[in-house]
This record gives sequence, structure tokens and C-alpha cells, in this order.
Amino acid sequence: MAGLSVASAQISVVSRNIANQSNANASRKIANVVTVNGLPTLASVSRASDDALLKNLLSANGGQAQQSAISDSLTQLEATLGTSTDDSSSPAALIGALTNALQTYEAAPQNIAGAQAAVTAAQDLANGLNSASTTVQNVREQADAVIASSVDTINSVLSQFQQVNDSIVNSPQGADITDLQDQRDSLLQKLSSEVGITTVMRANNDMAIFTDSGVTLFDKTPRSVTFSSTANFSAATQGQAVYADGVPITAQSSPLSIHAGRLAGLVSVRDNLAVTYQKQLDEVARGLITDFQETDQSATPTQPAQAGLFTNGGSLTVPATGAVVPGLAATIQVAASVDPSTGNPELLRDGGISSNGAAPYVYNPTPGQAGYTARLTQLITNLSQPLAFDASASAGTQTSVTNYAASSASWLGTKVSQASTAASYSTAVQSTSSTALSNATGVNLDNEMSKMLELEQSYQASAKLLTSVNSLYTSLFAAIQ
Amino acid sequence: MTIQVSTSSLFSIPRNAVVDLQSQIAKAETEVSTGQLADPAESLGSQLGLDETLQAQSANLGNIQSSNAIVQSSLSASQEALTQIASDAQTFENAIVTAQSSGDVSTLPAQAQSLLSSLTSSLNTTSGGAYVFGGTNSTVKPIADYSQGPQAATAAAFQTAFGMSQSSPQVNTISAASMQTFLTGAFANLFQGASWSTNWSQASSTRTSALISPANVVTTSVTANESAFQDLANAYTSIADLAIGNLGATTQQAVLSNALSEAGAAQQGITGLQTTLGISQSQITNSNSQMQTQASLIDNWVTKLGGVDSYQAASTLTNLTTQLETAYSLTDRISKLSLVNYLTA
Repeated sequence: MAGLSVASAQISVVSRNIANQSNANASRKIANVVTVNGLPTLASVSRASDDALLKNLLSANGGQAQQSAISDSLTQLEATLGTSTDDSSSPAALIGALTNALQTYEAAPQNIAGAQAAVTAAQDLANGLNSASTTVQNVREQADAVIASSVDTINSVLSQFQQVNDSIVNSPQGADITDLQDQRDSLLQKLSSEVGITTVMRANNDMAIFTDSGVTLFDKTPRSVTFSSTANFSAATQGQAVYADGVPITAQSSPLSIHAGRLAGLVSVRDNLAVTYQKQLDEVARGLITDFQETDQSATPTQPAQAGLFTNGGSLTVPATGAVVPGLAATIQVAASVDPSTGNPELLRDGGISSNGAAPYVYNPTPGQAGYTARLTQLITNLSQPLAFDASASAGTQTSVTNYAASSASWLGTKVSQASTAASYSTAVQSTSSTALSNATGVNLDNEMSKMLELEQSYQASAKLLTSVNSLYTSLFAAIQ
Repeated sequence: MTIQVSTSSLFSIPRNAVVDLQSQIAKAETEVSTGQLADPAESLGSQLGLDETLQAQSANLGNIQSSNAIVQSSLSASQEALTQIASDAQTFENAIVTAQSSGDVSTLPAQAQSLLSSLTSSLNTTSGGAYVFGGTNSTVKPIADYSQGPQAATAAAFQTAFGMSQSSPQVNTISAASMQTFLTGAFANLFQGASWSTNWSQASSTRTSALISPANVVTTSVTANESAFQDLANAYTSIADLAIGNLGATTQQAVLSNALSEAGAAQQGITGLQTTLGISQSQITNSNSQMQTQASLIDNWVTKLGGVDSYQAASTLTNLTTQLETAYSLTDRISKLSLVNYLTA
């Protein structure tokens, strides 16, 4: 009888394994059979597990989620550069188009269509910078929103974790806790995608979770993770930090900042990559205002320089040299006095855009004489003259605005290609870790089936034994009668 | 020890491979069809800016060449007008030399009159909506018709100098010496400075210029206020409108020789102007061909950076397709490879 019951108990474990074969988080269950008093009994059910591989997978999950968050956001930023087939929308290409329009106008300065085309090219450039700036801030805003939902996920996973962990800790000695353990592992995996974690195993199968920077997330009870999202992003907006257990875990340059997970990736996009790119766009805008500024043309100049073709939202002030003006790319626009629909585009040739054609900012010594080209020549040359740029924008300090726009594209290209490499590397690591863990702890169907055959035979043998004993007794009883 | 492979990872390997291959195929397809990198930022990385700069430079060089064509056409229009003016001046000099020896000046005034209007129309040549001799004042007709101002000025000067009009029968009393004084004084002044700008010319004396290469500015026109044109107008007017037919013989000779010397000076000046414009023209031709070479080098570079070798792209696509097919058949095979299929109930 013992043989039959052990065999059927083992068969039930095998069928559990087979049933869970497609569940990626379920581990292989092992029926532990011991011999007591010469008879086999099912002592306990345990599971195949590998703590080292699980830890690998947890850290790989964190890395993968972080890199893919960065890579996804950068792909959105890349949209500001246009695509390969249509690269006419990047700031560098738009500056090139403006240069071309100015040159064409300069070759036929009497042609008002040339003036209109040049001003339109300038408007395209200003609009291009405006929309690039909007894209950057949208990317930051989205990152902020995803951080909020990631924090929600973390909190809900932690509270589920508490239930499962409590059930495990409170189970009586020898009870089958393998399914609960599987569940706990799958919660850990989910958590590790959101934030880099380390785990510590305590007595009685109790588990504590810390961030990879050492802040407690769960120890007997879940610690609350808090974050308040920001509604509207502009260049000057700073996103809020995420707090765990009252400690900021995403503040820059804090030793308690997390290193991995979706949160880390999103925070680095929101507070670092997108911010730097915005600075570069702002510097391009500032460079343009500087290149097109108008100076006092009197013999002894007394008036300050004023913003000409490009202005900061209509202001005549020329921004200070060599320092980022936050959000300038969002507010740069073409002066109304030169706009073909509201003003006179020929001021581009004669100067006096800032003063609406009044001295002392007019360059043409005889305003209205259409053959005057010196100012246009100067403007074209200015676009390739070096200017001082803010070092904090990381795209060069002494270069022309044309080259600066190109080096900003290079900066972004470098980040995109780094992020893409890192993302595909971390995905490979994650998939290898996952495969290794699955191989070590997962179910092989063939294996289970052959085990099943073996158990079937042992069950048949036990049953055969019973019928044999039965027939022995039957014949014995027949002989007695 | 045999390593166990879990059934789920056995199935997930070809599945992941298929996903990866499909995304690679999508990229390769774009590259084959466009001949350009599917994702330039990712593939070029730090060289993306270089790629953008080169593309902008190439477009810029092309653009300068086409704006140079506009400048060239206005230069050619100037040159043609100058050639016409110079040949007119030559005709005029010949006629005067003939008249000097024959003493017959009867046909000269009419000829000078028509040469003067030919000079006016040459100096009013336009190209692309701009008066090429207008200087920076290129949208205003530079030279007035003789009857619209200059004629009155000449008459007034004549009246002031001799106390009579050109049509007066008394003109034969004007001495050669006083005519000489008039020609080099009051009359010459009509063709200079403020008087020229008031009566004859609306042009600006500032020659126009243009960028013909990223770093080279050249003069693109000469103006109607150049002294050569003033001299020539002087010579034509003196013959056409000083009643030369009615002057005394010696006075006539004085006017003729003055006109000859003015026309000679004008011719020299015109040659100088032609040279000035010729230098600009050849500079443009040179910088055009230089920019063409530069542009083709840059285009080569751009192709190397951002372009895709079509053979390579096509063979990559073929490879990927084969791989994808293999992955499909693997999935099929693996799904058949199960002990379950061999167990009979």
C-alpha cells in the first residue's frame, strides 16, 4: 500500500510540474521520498532553486529596464534631428537653409522675394527650435509621469510582497511553501525592473529588500515610496526626487541614489540628458540672437546693441555672452518688424530691424538703395564666426553657431548610439540570466514525462503485487473451505 | 553531468530570435530601399554632427554656385553694355578725326545725339530687375534722358557763359579762347560732382559687391558715376548741343579737339572698368570650379558616412531572411520534438 500512495503522491507532483510548464515563474517541484521503517514515504515537497542565478537575473532586470528607458526617451529626442531621408528639420540643417536663403538674397538684393524667402527661412529655424524645445520638455514630462506610475507599481508590489512573505514566515514547519516562494520570486523580479534591489534572507525564510544603494524597501513591513509628479515642464523646471523610507533615492550625486531599474533610467533622462540637450538648443538660440544683433551705427556709438532678426519673444535685449538662458529655444522668434505679413522684410538688408527702420541701427548709408549688400555679407559671415558658448551645455565653448548646432547633433548621436548599445547588451544579459535561471529551476517536459512512465510502472508493479497477494489469499481461502 | 534545459527556454530561444531578426530585417529593408542608414544617429554616433555639417556644406556650395549665376549674368550684362559703349566711343572718335581734317561738321551733332541716347540706354541696362550701373541704388533708373534735365542744365551754363542761347545767330562771335575756358570750366563742371548727380545721374557711386565663395567678396558692378561715363557724356554733349555748326572755324576746332580728348580718356577708363569686371568674372569662374571640386569631395564623404553599400545591404537582407526561415523551421521542429508525441495511450 505504501508503494501505491508514494507513487500517486509523486505522480501528483509531476502533474503539477507539467501543468506549470508554461508558467515562466513556476519552479520545478521535487518530491522528497524517504524510507521510514523500510517503507517509502513522501517526506516533503521542495523546489529547484538557485539563489545566485536569481540574484543575477534581478540585477540584469534592473540594468535592462534602465537602459531601455533611456534608449526609448533618446529615440524621441532624436526626432528633433529629423530622419535620414528628411534631415531638413534639424537645427543644423535649418541654419544651413537660412544661410542659403541669405546668400541668394545677397546675390539679388533688389529682389523682395529673396528677402521674404530669407525671413521665412529664419521663421522656419525659430519654429524648429521652438518645437525641438517642446519635444524635449515633453520627453521630460513623460518621464516624470512614468516615474509616478513606476512608484505606484513599487508600492503595490511591496504590499503584495508583505502578504506572501508573511504567509511563508507563518507556515507551519514542513508545509509545502514552494508555490508561495515562487510567487515571492516573481514579485522580486517585477520589483527589480522598477528599481535596482538587493535581498537578504533571514531566519524562517523571511526576506528583506533594500535598494541597490542600501535604502530599506521592505523589512517585515513595506516602507512607503513617495513621489509627487510635476504637471508642466519648462526648461527651468526641476523634477521632484523619489523618496523611499523618507530618504531621497533619486537625488543627483547623493550616495543613496539608485543605480539601476526603470526609475534610475527615467530620472537620468528627466534630470540629466534632456536637460543638457535643452541647454544646447538654448545656446543655439542665443547664438542666433547674438549673430543677428544690431549695433549703434553712428560715428560715435552710444546705444547698446539690440536683438535684430531673432529676438527672445520680442525683447530687444541681447543675452549676455557665454551663459545659457534657460528656455530661450522655446521663446526665440523672428522680429515682427521684418515679418513679411506685419513688417518690412527688406530691413534684413538695410538693418534697423530692432528700431523699425530708425537710426542709429540702420546699416545702409542710404536706406532704400536696393543694391546694398554689406550688411547681408556681414550676417552670412557672422554665422560662421566663433562665439563663446556655455561649457555646461557640453557641446563646445568657442565655435560658430552653425558648428555648435552640428556638435549638438553629435552629442545626441553619441548618447543614442551608447544607449542603444547598452540597451542591447543589457537585454542580452537579461535574456541569458533568464534562460540560465529557467534551465536551472524550470520544468523539462520530456523529463517529467519519462519520470511519469517510471512512476506509472512502479504504480503498476505495486498494483500487480496487490492482485497477486489477493489471488494468493483467494486460493488460500478456497483451500480452507 | 548533463545540463537540463527547461522546456520554456527551449521554446523561447527561437521565439526571441525571430523578434530580433524581424527588427533587423525592417532596418535592412529601409537601407536597401533608400540607400541610406536606417538610423543615422545610432549608427553614426559622434559623427552625426559631421554628417550634418557636410550635408549643409554641400547644399551651401551648390547654393552659392546658383547665386553666382545671378551675379554672373549681371556682370555679363555690364560687360556687354561696356563693349557697346566703347565701340560707340570709337565710332565717335573716328568721326571727329574725319571732321577735323575735312572741316565738315554738319552730320556730327545728329550722330552725337544718337550716340548719347545709346550711351543712356546702355547705362540703363537691367539684369534681374536691377539696373546694373545703378551702384547700390539699383532699383532707380540711373541716367536721365538728355531732354529730362541735362539739356536745360547745358543751356543754362551756355547762357551764363556767353550771354546768349545756343540757337542765337551771334554764336559765331564766340572766340576759341573763351570757348576753351567754357569747356574746361563751367561745361566740364556739369559732368562732375553734385551737378552730375542733380542733372544726369540717380546712381549711387558705391559699387555693389557679393560673396562669391564662403570667404570671398568681389565687386559685382561699376556705376554710372564712373568718370569714364562722365567724360563720354561730356564729349557727346559738346558736339550735340553746343551749336557746333554755327561756330567759327577755330572755335569749332577747339570743341572738336576737346571732345576727342574727352572721348579718348573715356575709352581708357572703360577699358579699366572692363578689366575690373573681368577680374570679378574670372574670380567667380575660378571659385565655382573650386567649389564644384569641393562639393564633389564632400558628397563622396557624405556617401561614405551616411550612405549604405547597396550590395552589402542586399546581402545582409538575404542573410537575415535565410536566418529567419531557419528560425521558423526550428520552431516547427522543436514543437514536434516532444516525448508526448511518442507515447501511446
